[in-house]
Amino acid sequence: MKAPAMLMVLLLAGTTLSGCLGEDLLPVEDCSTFVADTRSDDGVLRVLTYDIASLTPEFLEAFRNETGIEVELVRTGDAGAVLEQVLLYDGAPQVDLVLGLDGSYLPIAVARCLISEHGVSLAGVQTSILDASGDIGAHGVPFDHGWVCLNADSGAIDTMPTSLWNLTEPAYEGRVALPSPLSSSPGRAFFLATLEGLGDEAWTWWEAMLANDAIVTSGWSEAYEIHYSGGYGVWGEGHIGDAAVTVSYCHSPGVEAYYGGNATTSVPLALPGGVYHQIEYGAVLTGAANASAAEAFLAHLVSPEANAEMPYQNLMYSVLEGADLPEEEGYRHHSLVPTEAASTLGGMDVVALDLALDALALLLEA
Amino acid sequence: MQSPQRRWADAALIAPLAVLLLGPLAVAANRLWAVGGVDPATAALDLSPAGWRSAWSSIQLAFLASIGVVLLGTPVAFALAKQPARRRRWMTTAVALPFVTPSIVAAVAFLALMDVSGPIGSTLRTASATTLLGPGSIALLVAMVWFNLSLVTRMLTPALARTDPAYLEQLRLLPQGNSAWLRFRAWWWPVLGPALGAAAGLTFTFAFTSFAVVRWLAPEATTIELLLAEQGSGAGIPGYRTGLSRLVLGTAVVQGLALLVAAVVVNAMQRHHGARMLQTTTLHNGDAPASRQSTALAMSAVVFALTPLLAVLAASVRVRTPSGHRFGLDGWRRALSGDAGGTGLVDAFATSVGTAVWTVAIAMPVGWWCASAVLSAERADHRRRAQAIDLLAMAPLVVSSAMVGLGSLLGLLRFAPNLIASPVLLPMAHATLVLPVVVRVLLPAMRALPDDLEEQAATLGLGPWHRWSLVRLPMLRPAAVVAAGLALAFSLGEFGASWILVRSTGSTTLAVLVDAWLARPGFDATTRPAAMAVASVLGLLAAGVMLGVERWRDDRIGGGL
Repeated sequence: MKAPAMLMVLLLAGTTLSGCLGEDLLPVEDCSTFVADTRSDDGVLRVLTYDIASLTPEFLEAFRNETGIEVELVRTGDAGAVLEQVLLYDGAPQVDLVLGLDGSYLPIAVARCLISEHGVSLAGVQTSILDASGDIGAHGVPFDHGWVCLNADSGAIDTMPTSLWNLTEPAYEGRVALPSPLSSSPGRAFFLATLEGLGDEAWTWWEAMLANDAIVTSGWSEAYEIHYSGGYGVWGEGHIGDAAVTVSYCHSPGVEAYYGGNATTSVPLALPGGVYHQIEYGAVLTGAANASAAEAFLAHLVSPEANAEMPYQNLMYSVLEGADLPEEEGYRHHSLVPTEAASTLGGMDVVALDLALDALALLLEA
Repeated sequence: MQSPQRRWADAALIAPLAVLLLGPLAVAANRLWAVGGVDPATAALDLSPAGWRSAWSSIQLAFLASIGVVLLGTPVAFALAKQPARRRRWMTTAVALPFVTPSIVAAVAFLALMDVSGPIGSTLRTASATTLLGPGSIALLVAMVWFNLSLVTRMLTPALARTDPAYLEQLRLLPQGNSAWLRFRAWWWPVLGPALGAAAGLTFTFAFTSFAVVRWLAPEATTIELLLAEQGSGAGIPGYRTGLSRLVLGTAVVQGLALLVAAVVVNAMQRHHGARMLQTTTLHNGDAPASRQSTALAMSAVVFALTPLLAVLAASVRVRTPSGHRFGLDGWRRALSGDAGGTGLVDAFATSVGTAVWTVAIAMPVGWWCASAVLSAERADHRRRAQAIDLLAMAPLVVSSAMVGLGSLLGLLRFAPNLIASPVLLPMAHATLVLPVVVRVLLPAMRALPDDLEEQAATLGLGPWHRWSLVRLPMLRPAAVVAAGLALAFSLGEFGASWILVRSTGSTTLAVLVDAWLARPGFDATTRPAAMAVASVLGLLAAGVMLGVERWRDDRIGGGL
């Protein structure tokens, strides 16, 4: 077949023209020399986010009435995809503001000088959240938070595990569903928790879990909806329900109860080394067309009226001082606030995180 | 003979088309090469175990789907062919409906079917839980067969319906035809083989590159297309997950090669099939009374085609409760207000329709020009040039939606980052993807025009514009309407490239909105029905376009599409 061969040659020729885009692509280290390609101001505030539910039409309407600023949302898959989009812009952003990067993602963009420091007042935000944010607080405005931890189906387990190591025992063989830290953001948060909480033992634990036939899924939904027997997945098509334990939020059982008529068999487990304090941030991009409009948006997001909606609209805690989950329908009652948790990069830097994820990829592949 | 000016005009149009179609892919490949530090050939040969696993699942799925389509499609095509002409027409249309059903609606349809249909659903669910490629793979295969079944019926039914039974009667009397096996060898295989081969090849291509159905029906399967679409967002970033850049580049090359092989097979088979069709046409008008079995089989095929679509409508008004379910419009209300999804149904509808109209506006002139250029080169006996243009226009069939989406994204980022946010990006990508279909529909129709017709018109004193508008256009109108309709329906339902590109453009199409609703955690029981409501609108829209186009279609238009 001559003709298709020609096509292949055409395709390959395009790629062989020059294999040398490389040199100017590597990230800079010192942000003072970083020059962004500022987006031209078209009078619209463009916000990059994943499908964050709290950005309701009412919320956007209220912001526009208050400030006169038009907002356009650019939505992408999940937190990982949001980060990757920011990295792809590489200092020539097509948006002004990014929403929804948590402490395990934001530092990567910060390290590449892609995020500017903000001037938003965080007066109303809980000090524990500012503490947990550490250095990232200068770049990111926290707007919601929650704790990632294990959930267990009390209907399927007699005695609840008290240590992560219990899950490596025969009783849990094939009964724990873990969303992959490589492709799921709660999975990644949980992985960071184990690295910080279990120290060197963490790798032994992951190996033991894999040897104990832990179910590793690509995302949270697959683990929670298809494999976990204690959640709303049991109502869905294609449900398997072979896992009695999975990774979710410490307040997921509360959400189950809230939507399920104040009843759930799901229980949060705050095991040592298995809890991550996830804080989601909004951040202004280096090279934003309108940084002050972006900051106004962030200020609106942490205003008492807007932020109080978080538990209802976004199924996360509000970051404001004195805020808690609502009492209605067992939302608060079935949720758990852990005392100890890992946060941001779990004590690592960006390079170490990259290496750890690579190592885990090898472990999962083997 | 063509004048030199004409040749220059062709070249002036071929060059930009080549740049437009292949440029983004080349730049994307170059970027992945630079970031991953490995050239495309090495990346493909040196694929990681995860890469090989995804390639293997893609091949397995596509292969099984092709076999399923041939095994199920052949008897259905026979049964349809035996129906009286009028009934055959609407039945063929009904069986073809899944093929224009947007892939995300197909995915949702089978989720809905498993959910609402009682015994069928629970059988499918049980079968799906037992694994082949992970949970859901049986449902996935059924969905793929459902989707592609009409490829077989569209190609076989016309030929079968026109086959004069007297022929077979005569064959029985001959030594070459006195057993079923000999009749198969002497008659059926030469007549049907190429059509089945082409249908199987196309099914392989579509199954290999399907994204929405795999993503939602077999959530734990990893195919190449899934890997490219879902993990591609992390590729091409310097110093970040460089292994991923290599993986994406390598699997993209493997996918390109697999699709190339399929395209070569399809092309060869279609050429044979076209020749056979000419030999068997107008022998017989097929109005013999249909047997009861064949009518029952044809009816079951129609039911099989329509049930999943009806299940979507049913599932959009069915809301789960702690004790079972109730019926209500909550899902529709939520989809309309867009409260949690952000984008309301009405906005997404407008974006989808706008994008589809722009797609047609771009793809039709370009496709028309490609087809005319191929034809004029053929008539001037420039076979090479004809082939080059034809292949260029076919190139998008060899790259998948995800590759076009990623290519546009990574390619544009390098040269025109401002275009990334531009609303023309999506129609451009859709036009690229639908171009092969437009050319495939227009070209045979143009070939069928008698070539002396325009000469006669010129002799009568008609200028070039009048020759075009009074002679060519009216004669090609049916093909043009079918091509435009297919382009419209395709763009409305396109999911893979849109899914990758709308993350940059800020507008959401109906197909992407369905996915967004599905991807949302389902604690709130009205989330799934909201996805079903959006899917119902999209499915009805695409079906409406197809039914509108159907009366223009003649068996020879569309090359099986």
